[in-house]
Amino acid sequence: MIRVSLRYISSYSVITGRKQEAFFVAEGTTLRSLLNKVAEKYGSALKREVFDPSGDEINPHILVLVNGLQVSQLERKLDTRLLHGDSVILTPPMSGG
Amino acid sequence: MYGWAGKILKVTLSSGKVEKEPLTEDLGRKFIGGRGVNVKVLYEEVKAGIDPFDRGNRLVFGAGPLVGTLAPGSGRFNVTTKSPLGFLGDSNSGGHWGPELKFAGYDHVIVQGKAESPVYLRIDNDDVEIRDAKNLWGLDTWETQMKIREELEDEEVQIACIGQAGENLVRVANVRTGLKHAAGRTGTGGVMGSKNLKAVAVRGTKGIKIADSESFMQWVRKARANVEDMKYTLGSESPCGGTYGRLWFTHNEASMMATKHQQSGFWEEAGKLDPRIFHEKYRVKMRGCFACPINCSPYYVVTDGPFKGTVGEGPEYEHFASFAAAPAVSDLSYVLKASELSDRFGIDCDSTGRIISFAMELYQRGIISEKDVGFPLKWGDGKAVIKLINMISKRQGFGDVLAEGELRAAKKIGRGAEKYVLTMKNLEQHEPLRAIVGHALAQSVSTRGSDHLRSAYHAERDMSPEEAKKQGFNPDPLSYSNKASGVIFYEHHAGLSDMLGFCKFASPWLSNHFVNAEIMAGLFSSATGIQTSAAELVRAAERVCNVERAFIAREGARRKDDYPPWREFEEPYPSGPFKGQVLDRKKYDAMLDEYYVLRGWDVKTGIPTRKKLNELGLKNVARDLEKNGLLPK
Repeated sequence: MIRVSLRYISSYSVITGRKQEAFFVAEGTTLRSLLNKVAEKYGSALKREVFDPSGDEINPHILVLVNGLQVSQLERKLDTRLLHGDSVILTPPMSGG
Repeated sequence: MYGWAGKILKVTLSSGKVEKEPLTEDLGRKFIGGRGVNVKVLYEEVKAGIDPFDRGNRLVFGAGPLVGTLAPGSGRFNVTTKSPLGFLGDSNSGGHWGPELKFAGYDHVIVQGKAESPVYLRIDNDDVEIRDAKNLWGLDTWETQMKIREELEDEEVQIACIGQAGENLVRVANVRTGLKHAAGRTGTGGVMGSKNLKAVAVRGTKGIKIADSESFMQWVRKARANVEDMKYTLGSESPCGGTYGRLWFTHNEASMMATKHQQSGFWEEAGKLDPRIFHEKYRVKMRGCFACPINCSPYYVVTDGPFKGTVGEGPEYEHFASFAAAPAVSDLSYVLKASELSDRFGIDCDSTGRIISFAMELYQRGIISEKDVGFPLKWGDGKAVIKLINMISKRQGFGDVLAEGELRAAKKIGRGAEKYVLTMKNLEQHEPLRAIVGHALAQSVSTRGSDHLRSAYHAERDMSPEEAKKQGFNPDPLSYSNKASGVIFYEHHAGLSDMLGFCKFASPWLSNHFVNAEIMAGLFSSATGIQTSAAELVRAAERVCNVERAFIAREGARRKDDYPPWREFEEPYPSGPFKGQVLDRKKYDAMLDEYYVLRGWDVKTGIPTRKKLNELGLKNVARDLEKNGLLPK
């Protein structure tokens, strides 16, 4: 098993009712699989927030960061295999400049 | 007084007269502070139609009642004037200067007149002195700050100043403090230069009195708890923090990247400037403004390449939009050098980058040539960008033409150049808007022109449909329905941040889950001792928006000035996720009508009605508009 830390920002901390937690998952777990586990834990409201209607891609209004990098920056995107100690953040994209 | 320092400093540079006036509770209640009081002063003291460089124009600095307190993100201040571009000049900056002004005992500084030769203003608690600045004239903003610290033998003094661009009356020059903080847009630095005022150096040791410190600290803890996790996404705990790190790809994916003078919203080469490269190679540490739990500003040193040794802070997303996407430069070293130069010369990176890309488009279309500029102006040429930043800031050669801003430059150039001007209320358009309809309305009606910091429609990008529905927003970025009320929400909450002295990253401008109006009201009430509800605060913001609207109406702004530039309606995006997208003029018209109706403004002109002004306690503004023949019938 590996330990992955989850952090929820803004509306995601409201939906989950917490700011952070740890997930213990099997070695080789992908980001997609982790997000599915998180969605399972918090129900359909979170699932609708995270995944688009096809269930294959994440919605444009959520930014998922893995060790500070967004999914588009990861070589294997949602199929990235997570490592022990990785940090995953769910946050709105945030505008500004 | 609690919260406020309680004094306004009035400096007449022509005579050297320094006066101190009380900030009354009534003024504080009605206009709160910062941007709010600043614009009231501007409206009442500046004659309509005045040349912005006339000595009668005012340059007003203001720090709101929460500035300098422990409220998170309370390090902001505003600089307000009639803009050299023609309408409202107003810009907000972070850093440590605003809190220092409060510690010295002042909420506002009103500068009028013009010094005979270069001077700087030194404020040391109760002692205020106008000092000779001939030795500072010609220095950039970083050198100026170092020199003043040396002269005053005080490392703690906080300095707001101009660089060469302000001295040379460049119409998009700004006022800067620290390495990166700027009252960036609308040319405030040019007005400061026109007054021969190089800097305002402030030192204060008085602190700020809080009416109910126990209650205040409870609100501070609540506010902090709501925003501090932003350090993991935008700040010190993120390996890719700062606005460049966080927004570079998301803005491109939303087709908001100002590519080649807005010819596209999507830049195919954005991947070459993956912020990871900058953070891994050059970032030294993250820094923050006063009382900030986020720290979104990377301090960096360039350690290789042609510009080895370049240092800076930021760079912000807007630096990269300006000096990478706009002129299509994908070489990181040139973008960082351009950012450093714009910060040092004291020139707005947004406007400058767009003006340069405007010139490049004119070159692309054969309207100008090497003969006009002195060298070729091809897309992607980082060397040309750096040359032009120098030439604009120093008004050298063709730079003297561009220093006038897109609109005036086009008039000087002629030959059909005017067709390619992309400005909103004369301020250079900084963001393409074809696939973010609510945001297009927000930026277009903004009282200072093209602007995401006065208003926005972040619900189109940052909210899920369910959350948006709960909060009364329409999150569909391509829909025109029910957008106007949300724009007003964002305008009022951005306004409140500027009036109280809050960072917008901690405010409802970004997320209602951060420091919302209820928490702001708690902080304001406990700090000042004046019990005020969230609704009353929002009402004050509405009042300020109406005064600003009356100010620009007096300067000639009408309904026609509340539209995005022609390209947004006529040129479909050539590539990217929103390929083919343009705005629909008829639907935009209807959306604008709805906005005016909800605002209580005249639909034909966009000018506030007597009824609305009276309702906001602005009878004097209504009378003034009537006197000028502007009050809608």
